[in-house]
Amino acid sequence: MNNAEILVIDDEEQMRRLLEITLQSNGLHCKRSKHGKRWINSSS
Amino acid sequence: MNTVFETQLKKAKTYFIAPLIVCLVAAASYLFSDIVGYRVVALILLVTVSLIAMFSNIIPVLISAMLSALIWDYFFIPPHFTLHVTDPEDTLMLVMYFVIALVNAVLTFKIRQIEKEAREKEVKANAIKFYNALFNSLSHELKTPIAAIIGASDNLLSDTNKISEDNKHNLLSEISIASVRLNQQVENLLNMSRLESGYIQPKKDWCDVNELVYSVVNRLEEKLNQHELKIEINEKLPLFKLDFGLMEHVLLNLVNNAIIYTTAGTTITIRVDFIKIVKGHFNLSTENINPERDKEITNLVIEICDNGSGFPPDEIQKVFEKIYRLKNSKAGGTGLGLSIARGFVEAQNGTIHLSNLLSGGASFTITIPAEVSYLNKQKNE
Repeated sequence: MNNAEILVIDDEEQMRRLLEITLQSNGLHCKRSKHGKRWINSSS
Repeated sequence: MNTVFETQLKKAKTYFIAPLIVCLVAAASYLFSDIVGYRVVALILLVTVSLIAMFSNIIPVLISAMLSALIWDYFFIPPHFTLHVTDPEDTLMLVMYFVIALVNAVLTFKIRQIEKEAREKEVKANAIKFYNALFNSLSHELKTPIAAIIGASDNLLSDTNKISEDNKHNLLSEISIASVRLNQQVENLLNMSRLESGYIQPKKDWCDVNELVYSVVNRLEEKLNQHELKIEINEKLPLFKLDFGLMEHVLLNLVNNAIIYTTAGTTITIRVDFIKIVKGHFNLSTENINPERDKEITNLVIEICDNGSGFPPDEIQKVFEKIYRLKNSKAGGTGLGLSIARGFVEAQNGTIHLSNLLSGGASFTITIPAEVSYLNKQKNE
C-alpha cells in the first residue's frame, strides 16, 4: 500500500508492540524504538 | 469507641494530676519554707504551674494556677492558715502572683497550641505531597494497561479481515498482559491501603517453601523467558509456619522487579536456607538436624540475587520507601512494590535487606523467624 516507514517511539514497550500490530494490520511498515534520538543516531 | 473513652480518661486524669502536682510541690516547699522563705516558695509554685502548662490542657492549668495562689496565701503568707493577708506588700505580691501564674499558663498553652497546629499542618502537607506523587505514578500505571486493553480490543472488533491470525493472537496476548498488569497495580494499591491502616494480620500455617518458590516461578514463567533462573533450596529445609499469601506476594514483587529492571540474559538466583538460633548462638542448617526439635524457632533466609548492574549506592536506603523510584529508572512502576514487600515481611516479624554484590548485581535478603516442623515435612514426603 505504501512504502513509507513509520517510527513508533514510546517508553512503554507494550504500547510500541500494539501500535506496530495496528499499523501492520493497515498495511504500513513500522520500526519501534524506546528513544527517538538513540534510534536516529544508530540508523544514521 | 475505646479510643474515645481512652481520650476522655486521659483528659480526666490531667484534671486530677495537675492539682495533685501543685499540692505535692507545695507540701515539699512547706518543709523547707523556714529556710527558703515564703517569697521563694511563690517562685517555686510559679515554675510548677509553668511546667504543668507545658504538658496539660488550659483548664487543668488554670485550676493549678488558682490552687497554687490559694495554697501560697493559706499556708505560706503570714499569718498562716488563713486567707487573710495583713501586709499590703504581701497583698500586692499575691495579686501579682495570681496574674503572673494565669498569664504564664495561658501563654505557655498558646505556644503549645501554635506548635501543635504547625505540626498538624506539616503532616497534612506531607500527606498531600505523598498522595499527589502516588496519583501521578498511578495515573500512568493504570492508564497504560487500560489504553492497551481498549486499543487491542478495538482493533479486534473493528475490521477483523485486515488482521492476520498471528496478529489476532498477539492482540489477545497484549490484552492478557495488560490485564495482569492492571490487576497487579490494583492489588498493590489494596495492599498498601491494608498496610497503612495496620490491618495486616498474618494467617500463619505450615508452609513448604519449595512450593512457595515454584508457585512464584510458575506465575512469572512467561516473563522469565529472557532471563536465566537458578533455584538453590536447602534439601533439609523444614516446613515453616508462615503466611503463604503474604510471602508469595513478597517473592513475586522481588522476582518481578529483578526481571523488569535487569537486561535480558541476566541470571536471577533464588536461594533458600535456614539458620537455627540456640541460646544466643546459631548453627548452620546443614549441621545435625534433630527431628525431635520440631517446634524450634528458626530463621528462614531467602535471597533473591541477580548479576545485573545493581543499585546506586546512595539510593539503597531509600528503595523501600513508599512511592520511591530510582532516579534513572525506566518508565512504569508506582514505587509501591518494595515498600509492600517490606511491610509484609515486617508483619511476620522479619527483615528485608538490600545490598549490592561485589561480583555485580544486587541481592535482597529476607530473614523471617518462624516455627519449623521436620516431622510434617517427612510425612509430606
